[in-house]
Amino acid sequence: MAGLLGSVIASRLEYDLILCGDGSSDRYSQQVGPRLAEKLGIPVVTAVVGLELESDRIIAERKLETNLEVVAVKLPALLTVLPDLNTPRIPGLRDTLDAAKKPVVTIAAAELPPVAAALIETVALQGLVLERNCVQFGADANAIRQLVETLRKSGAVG
Amino acid sequence: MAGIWAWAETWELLQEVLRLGKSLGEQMGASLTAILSEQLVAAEGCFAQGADRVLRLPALPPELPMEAIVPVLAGQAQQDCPELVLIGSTQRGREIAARLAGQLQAGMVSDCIAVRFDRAQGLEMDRVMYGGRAVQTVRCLTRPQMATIPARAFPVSPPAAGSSGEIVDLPAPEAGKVAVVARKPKAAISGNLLEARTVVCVGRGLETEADLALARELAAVLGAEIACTRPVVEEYHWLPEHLCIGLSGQQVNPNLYLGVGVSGQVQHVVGIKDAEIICAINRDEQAPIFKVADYGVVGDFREVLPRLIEELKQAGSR
Repeated sequence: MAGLLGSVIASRLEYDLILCGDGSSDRYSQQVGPRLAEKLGIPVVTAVVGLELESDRIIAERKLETNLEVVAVKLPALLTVLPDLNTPRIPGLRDTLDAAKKPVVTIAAAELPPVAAALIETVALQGLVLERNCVQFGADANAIRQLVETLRKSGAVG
Repeated sequence: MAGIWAWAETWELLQEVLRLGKSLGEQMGASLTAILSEQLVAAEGCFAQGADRVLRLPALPPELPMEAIVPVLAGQAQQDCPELVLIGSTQRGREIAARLAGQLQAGMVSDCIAVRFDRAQGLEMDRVMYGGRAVQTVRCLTRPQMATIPARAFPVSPPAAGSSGEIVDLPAPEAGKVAVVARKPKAAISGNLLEARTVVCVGRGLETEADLALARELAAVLGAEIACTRPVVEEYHWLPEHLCIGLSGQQVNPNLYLGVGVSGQVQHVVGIKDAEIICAINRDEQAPIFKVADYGVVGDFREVLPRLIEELKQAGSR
């Protein structure tokens, strides 16, 4: 995916800033953004939760596990952003009408550069199974006493 | 001899990655190299976790982000030709791994949760996809094979004493196009959800902050840490994000997980799959949490919790 995007962007588009989500909702591998930046040879900033444009550079705030890191990056650059970045507004009628007038360029499959050989293969895909007891208790005082007794016997409560 | 590389941002995670590398190395007949950021620990710490060799990175000047090590790693990988590169899955780790894979034109498995080696088939790695609904098994078709390893996915064994090995100093990374201008602390993190033996988790079924107080009372009686599902953080704003359990939050493995008003969306359930016992209280008997719970109570938590608290107090005093 990053290879294909890289070829299309490099051959057709001028850009200062490329924004990517942090990962797709199906695979969530979080690789396309950083790989695309490497392919284009531009800097990347990941996990962005805030950004400001300052003439020819971006000041971006990254959310890491233990702290926030503020970085400066000169354009052109690629950023991957987290959902915390903003709350998308609901488009109004005017926006919807305007949107219909924006140009849409369709690139046919035949126009695409040849797709590079796959780097990984999926050999199996299985539903996640959790095996649990699924014992149900009622909500009355007696049932709750039984529940606590069961938890106590299993060592889950002291 | 083929080699395995291990890198992680924190010493805690690096130990886990090294132990995984060590166990795979024994099966694959591969040596283990720790890529060590100098400030983390002395090289001997890595040898004690099974490393045969340490490639040491100097501490970075404050304006350099950790990600600046990517070109150094790529250069060394081209000389070393490792068979497998394992990188601890943190925000930085995932970026570093993806960029390194890009530079080496290598396939990479993100957030690998299980790995199997077979002489004929090579490595097969499992990862979770579709928001936790499925396990994808993947093979890398290129070399090095690469994977990011999430925290606590693989066990750490106690270190062996007295091991030693070769130490090689890597060149200092050069300044790239990204410069750090400030580092800010995140909101203070209290409690320790990841180490908790008992977790009381609240979900969207709670309606008021008084309900939350009731859940806290239960947690106090159980000596439990409080946690929550994502809507409680994002919609109710009652609890901080680091207490959120699930695919995009914490993955916990307590002896007892007790869900209060938790419906059991799969994105949340992924975060509790390693709990010893899952217990759920929900008024909706159709709630999916009951399908993944060991013990379920169908009822209104406002009635159930006071009874449960009372019963636990009595059981404790008996």
